[in-house]
Amino acid sequence: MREALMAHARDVLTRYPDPNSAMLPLLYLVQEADGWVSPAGLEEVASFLGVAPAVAESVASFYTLLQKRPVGRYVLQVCTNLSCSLLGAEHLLDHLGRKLGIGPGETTPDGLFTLQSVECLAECGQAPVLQVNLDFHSGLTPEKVDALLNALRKEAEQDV
Amino acid sequence: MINLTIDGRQTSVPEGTLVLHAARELGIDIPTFCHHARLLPFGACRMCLVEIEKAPKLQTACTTVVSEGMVVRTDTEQVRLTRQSVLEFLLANHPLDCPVCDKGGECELQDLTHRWGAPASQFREAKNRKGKALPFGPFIVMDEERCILCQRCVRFDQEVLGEGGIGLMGRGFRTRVGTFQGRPYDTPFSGNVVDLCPVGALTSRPYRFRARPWDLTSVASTCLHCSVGCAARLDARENHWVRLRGADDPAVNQGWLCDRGRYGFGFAASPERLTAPQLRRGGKLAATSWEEALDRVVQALREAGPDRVGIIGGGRLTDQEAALLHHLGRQVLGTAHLDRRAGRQLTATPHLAGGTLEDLDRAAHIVLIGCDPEETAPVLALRVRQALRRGTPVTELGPWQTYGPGHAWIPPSRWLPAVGSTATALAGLREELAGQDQPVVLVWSGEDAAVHDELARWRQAMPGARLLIVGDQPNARGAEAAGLLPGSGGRSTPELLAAAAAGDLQVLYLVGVNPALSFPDGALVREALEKVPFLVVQDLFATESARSAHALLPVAAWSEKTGSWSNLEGRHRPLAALTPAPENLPDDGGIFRELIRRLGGEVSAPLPAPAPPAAAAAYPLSTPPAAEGLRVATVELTYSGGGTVLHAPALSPVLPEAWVTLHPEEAARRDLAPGQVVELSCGDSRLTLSVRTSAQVAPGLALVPRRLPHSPDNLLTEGAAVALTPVPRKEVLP
Repeated sequence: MREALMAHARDVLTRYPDPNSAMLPLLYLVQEADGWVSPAGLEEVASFLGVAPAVAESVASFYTLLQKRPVGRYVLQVCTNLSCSLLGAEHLLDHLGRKLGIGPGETTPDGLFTLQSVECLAECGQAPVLQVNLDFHSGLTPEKVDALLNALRKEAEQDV
Repeated sequence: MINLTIDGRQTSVPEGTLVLHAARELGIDIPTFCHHARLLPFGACRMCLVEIEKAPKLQTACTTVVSEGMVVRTDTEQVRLTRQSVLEFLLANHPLDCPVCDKGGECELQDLTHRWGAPASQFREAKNRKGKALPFGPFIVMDEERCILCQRCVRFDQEVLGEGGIGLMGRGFRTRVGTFQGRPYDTPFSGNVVDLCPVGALTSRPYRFRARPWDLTSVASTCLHCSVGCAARLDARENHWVRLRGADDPAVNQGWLCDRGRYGFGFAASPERLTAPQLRRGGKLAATSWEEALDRVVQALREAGPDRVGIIGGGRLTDQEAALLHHLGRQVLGTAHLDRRAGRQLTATPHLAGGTLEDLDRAAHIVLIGCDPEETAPVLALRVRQALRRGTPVTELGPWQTYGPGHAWIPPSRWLPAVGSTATALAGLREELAGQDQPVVLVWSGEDAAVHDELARWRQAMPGARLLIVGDQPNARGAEAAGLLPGSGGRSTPELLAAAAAGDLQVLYLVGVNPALSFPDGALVREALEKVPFLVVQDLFATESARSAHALLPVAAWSEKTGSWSNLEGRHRPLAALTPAPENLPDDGGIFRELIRRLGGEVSAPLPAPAPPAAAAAYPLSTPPAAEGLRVATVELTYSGGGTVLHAPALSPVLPEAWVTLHPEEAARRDLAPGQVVELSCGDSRLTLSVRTSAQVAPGLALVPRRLPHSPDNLLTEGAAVALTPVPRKEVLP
């Protein structure tokens, strides 16, 4: 494991009586560093914990917040579970796709946005919802989504 | 004991018993998929849901432990409907391709649907599509759509192998069983997941589309590929051997097999098999009749006289055949020159208290002496893995370490590299453990006279120690018990070969051995086989040793004969004929009987009991010279050999290439990289090998696999100095 990560990972390990419990935080560490959890990242975590890489992949593949492919700066995860779908999540997904020119699972050529549909985000009361990286946006309409995209674009421009 | 009621019947079972087992003891069947007697309780499939009074909802019988006064019902309408619903969900996305599924007819999903399923499904939606016919390692094909996610395979891999090579990938209805990044499932025990799969998701490549289960005839027998003696079921279709599966002998293999045993059966149907006896005429071997062949052999044996005859072999015979060979040699021919040994192994019979495989489960300490059970006795190695996971100390003495840090979930063993002398390292360990007479189990390759002598000292120092010797042939131990060792004044294999090379031997009779490949002094054995005036070779194939034979006697394979043999524990192992031998092929015993008859002997039953085996140390192999620099060490591999392994087509993807493994520092010092092709020279001999590196090989050693027909290790002298020269990559001509 890389030096900087290593120090952090060793610290994470001290928090759990069973080192295997550190699997998820370690996978997040790798994702923070690399932007996604690559096969090499999975092997890194597995060898750090002394487990087989298939075990790390099994865990990582379960969680939609762990990206198994390279993603854009902003990952838009639209809930398409029951409540959100009843309140128009499918239209929202279509709308975003048209605006960004990509389909679910794809990333815009400028590397800014990745669009994904995910299962329940546990915000049914405010459906339909989406999540931008780790931030919730609920009670969405196409207009609100347009405003959100503009705000994110502006944020990205200011950072450059 | 815990008292409970199941379906109105009172029963009393030990604390900790699962409801499922308590019910089964009463003869009450609860259907299951994910449950398996050799795996830990899991509760994934929900098929075993039962009613338990005072529990708010149905409980899984396979994970619920009995408690005092528990009242269980398995025969209610709710339970029946639940089973029906569970099946309906399992089948919702199941392809129902039973007519073309290998599992059809012996499928647990099919059987339980037949017994408990609903007549029709309520699902009208399109079925979930997943991967079909995906390669899952060299022997297995995966159909993800048939999988019911019971995870028996995943749990076997984790609990029994301790590897973690497979896992559940993804989530929800996209969940599938897979390997890391879809790489081949790489373990020498892969085929067990096919036995475990309750449906047709994991199927064996060599068996795919070969038979319907109801057309099979089966026998309960044992696998005769190594000295462990795993219980097995052999299946044939129209007298063609199509499958070998594990059977559960708790004291031996607990249902498991290695892939060599499971997929190595193709040799029996190989077109390379010898079908008729051959005699050398005018310098060439030509087919002849049994009448003529046996006459010629008898004539040669008679002319030679007892002192100029030598017999080598017996470790592939049944106990009964070994007794016949002993009778033929000692009584009928009157020779003492019999030796079952044809390689480096001095003895397969323990000279201190013999151990059992189950002793490995109770051991306080396991010592592996010059022996890699992962390669030579794979199913024994599963018990060593379990011991390591339990925290039992395992010490490896030898040139390389098997259980190093490379194994994912298994803690590494302690390694005493023993480059100088294994016996010295073993003596050191004895002194370390002296005084604490714990149940130590020693697993030995049976090689090295110095180790033999040192072990005799263990007998005094550690009366609780138990010894297991991994036989270099499956029935090595049975052959020794039958007396196939040199009698007093008799010549051992090295002495016989030396005598043959010196022109002191008239007839050499090889029975199911291939010393040209297995005897460590390659120059001596080649010269001996060339020079002996009459060489008889009795085998399935025209091996390297058969090239200069004067008489070649083909025989039945082990799947074609009935009898018994003795595994490395000395345990009786049954052998049952699955198919008849090809026309005109006797078994080894048949040939011995006929030779006895023609030589004027009698086969009186019972045959006289043989004398106890002679001192094993009387096996004079030349000792390795003291060498500086890089020295040769050899390692036996699961797929070493020039016989049955080479002629089993299913094994061809896993047959080893010729390699030399160096410690990474040794490789770096010589500027060699893994994969690079080198010429290894040792004296006048040269082998072309590809370089591998491993920190689990002692520095100073060039580790070379044994008994590879295309790269015979016995051209090199074990322990001798070698030089490695890189071979420039050849340009491929257009």
